[in-house]
Amino acid sequence: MEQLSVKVEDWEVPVGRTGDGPPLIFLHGFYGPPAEETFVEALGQQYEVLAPVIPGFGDTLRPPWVRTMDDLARFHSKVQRELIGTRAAPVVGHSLGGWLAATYTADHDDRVSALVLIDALGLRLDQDPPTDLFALPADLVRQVAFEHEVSGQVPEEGTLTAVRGAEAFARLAWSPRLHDPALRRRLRYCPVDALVIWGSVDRVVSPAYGRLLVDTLPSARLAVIDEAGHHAHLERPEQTAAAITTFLSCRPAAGRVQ
Amino acid sequence: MEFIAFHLMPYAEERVTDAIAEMPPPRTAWVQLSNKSFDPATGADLYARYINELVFAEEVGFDGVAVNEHHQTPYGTMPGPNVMAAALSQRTSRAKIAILGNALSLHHQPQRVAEQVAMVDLLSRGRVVCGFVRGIGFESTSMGTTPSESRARFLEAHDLIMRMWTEPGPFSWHSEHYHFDYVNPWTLPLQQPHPPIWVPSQGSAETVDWVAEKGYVYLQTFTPLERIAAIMQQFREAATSHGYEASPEQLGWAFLMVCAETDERAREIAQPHIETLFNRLILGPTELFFPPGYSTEASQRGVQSSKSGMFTREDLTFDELEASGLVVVGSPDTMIDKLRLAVDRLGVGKLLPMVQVAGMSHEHAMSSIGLFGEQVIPPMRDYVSAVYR
Repeated sequence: MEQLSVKVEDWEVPVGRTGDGPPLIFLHGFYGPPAEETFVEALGQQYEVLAPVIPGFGDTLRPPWVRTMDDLARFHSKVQRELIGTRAAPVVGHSLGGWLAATYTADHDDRVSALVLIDALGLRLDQDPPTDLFALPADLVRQVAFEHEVSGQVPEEGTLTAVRGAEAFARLAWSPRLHDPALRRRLRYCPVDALVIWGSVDRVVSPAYGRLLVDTLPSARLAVIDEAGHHAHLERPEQTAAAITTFLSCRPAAGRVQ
Repeated sequence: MEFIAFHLMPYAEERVTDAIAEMPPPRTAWVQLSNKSFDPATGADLYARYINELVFAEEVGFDGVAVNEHHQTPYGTMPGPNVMAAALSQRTSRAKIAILGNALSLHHQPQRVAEQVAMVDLLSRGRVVCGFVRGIGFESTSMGTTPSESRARFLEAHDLIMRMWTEPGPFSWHSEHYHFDYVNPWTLPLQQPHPPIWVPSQGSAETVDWVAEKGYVYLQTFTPLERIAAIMQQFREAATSHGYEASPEQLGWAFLMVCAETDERAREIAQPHIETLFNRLILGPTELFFPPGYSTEASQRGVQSSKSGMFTREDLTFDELEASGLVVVGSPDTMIDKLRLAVDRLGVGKLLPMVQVAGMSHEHAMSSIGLFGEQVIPPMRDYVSAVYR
C-alpha cells in the first residue's frame, strides 16, 4: 500500500492508498490501520482504496480538540474532502471505524454513495452489551477480538503505536462505554444504501448488532461471514471483500459524481 | 517529626478474601468483585470499630488521623472521605484530620469538594488537612471518567477550589472541563485562607514538580523505600529549582505498620494480613490500574512492557514486602531503629503509619497503636533526618 499524507487544518493525516478505479474510503478499527493487506488489496482490484489513519492511531498524535466521536466525524469530513473533494464515495468502516463511518454518514449522506459497516461499534443493546474491552487485560482483549489470529495486526505492547492507539480509542469510547446513545436515532433517518457485514462469532459485538443496524437503517442488508470473529475482513478477507464489491457493483450510484 | 495515624478502613472479612481467590482470572478486588459479600451490619460495626481506633490514636499521642477515598472495593470503604472526616471531627478534639485525599478528577462539580472540606474544617474548628489526589486508574472505571482527562481535570479542579478559598465570590469559572457561571460558596474554611494542602502521589515527575512548585506537602505510599528516596531527592531538587529549600515538614511517608511487644509477635500478627492485603485486596489487572491515557506516554509504555507489578502478583511474601520497605513491623525498639534508618534515607518530617491492615483484629490494632503512640512517638519526636543534619 502506498503511503501519502493530507493536511487538515494544521494536522498531518497519513493515508494508505492502493488500487485503481473510483475512490473508496476505508476506516480502520481500534487496533489501528490494517497491517494485513489481503483485504484492502482485494478491494483495490476495483477501487482506489483510500485508508486515512484515524488521529491517534498508527503512532500519530491525536488533535487535542478531538474528544468525541462527533468531533472525529467532523474531522473526517475535512479529511475526506481533502482526499476526494465533495463527490460521494463508498465508505467502509470496521469496528471503531464503522462507528465513525456511521456517524459521518448520518450527517453527510450526500458524501457517501454507499455505507459498509463491518462488525461496527456504536450501538448498545442492554440485553447483550458490547464486551467491555476496557475491563480486560490486553491478552484477553486479543482473544475476544479475533476468532482467528491475524499476524501483525495488533501493535506490540509497550510501543508508541500501542500506547497512543489505546489512548485514542479510550478517549472516544470510555464513556458512554463503546457506544453513542444518539447514534441509533440518527441512523433511522440515514437514506444511504448500506451493507452490514458481521463475523458469525463476533465476541465484541454479537451478530445481534448486525441485525439491529439492518433494522435501524432504512436501506440495509446483512451479510454474515461464517466462522469469523470481530475482524471479519481480516479473518476472511477474500469473502468479505467479495461481499463488498458485489454489493457496490449492484448499485448504479456507486462512485457517482455529484 | 509529625505522626499521622492513617486508616484504610478495609472490608477484609474472610468471605470477601475467599470470593477474590475464587474469581476466574483476572482476579481483582476492584470494581468487578461483586458487592454481594458486603454485609451492611458488618459494615456499620467496622466503621464504629475503626473510628474507635483513630480516636485512640489521638489519645496516645498521634498528631493527626487520616482517611482516604476509594470506590467499589473492599480495599477501603470510604467512597466519601469527607463523611468519615466529619464523623471523626466530632469524636476527636486535638488531632488534625487529614483527608488524603479527595479524588478531584472524579468530580463533575469540584466546588462540592471545596464546600465539604470547608464544612469539616468548621466542624473540627480548623483541624482539617486537605489532600488532593486524581483517583487511581480503577476509579476511571468505577466512576466512568475518561482516564486521559484525569490530569487536566485534577489541575483545573484544584485551581477552581483554591480560587474559591482565596477570592471572594461570586465569580465565574471557565476552563477546559469545568464551566460555572456562579461560584460563591457560603461555607469557607476556618483556617485562613485555607487548610494545609497535602498531595499523596505515586511519584510521577509531573506531580513531584507541581507539588514542589506550589509549596504543598508531598506524600508517598506503597512504593519501595529505594524508589521513595529517589523521589524525595527529586522533590528537594524541584523545590530548589523553584527558588526555595524544601523543609522536612513538606515530605511525608505512609507505610504499613504493625507494632507488638516483641519482633516475633509483631511478625506473627502482621504476616497473614500483610499478605492478604497485597495478594488479595490490591489485586487487579495492570491495564485497569493504568488505563489508556491515565499516565504520560512514557509511563504507559513502561507499564505495558513490564507486567510483573505488585498489582497482578498473588504470591508476594511478607519477607519480600518487608525487605522493600513497604512494611515496618517489630517491637517498639526495632520500630524506632527502622524508622530512624528510613527517615535518614528519605529526609521526611512526617510519618503516616497505616495502623490497621486487612483483617487485623481490633485488639491487635489497638495494641499496635498504643505501643507506637506511647513508646515510638516520644523518642522519635525530635529526630531529624541525616539529610537535614
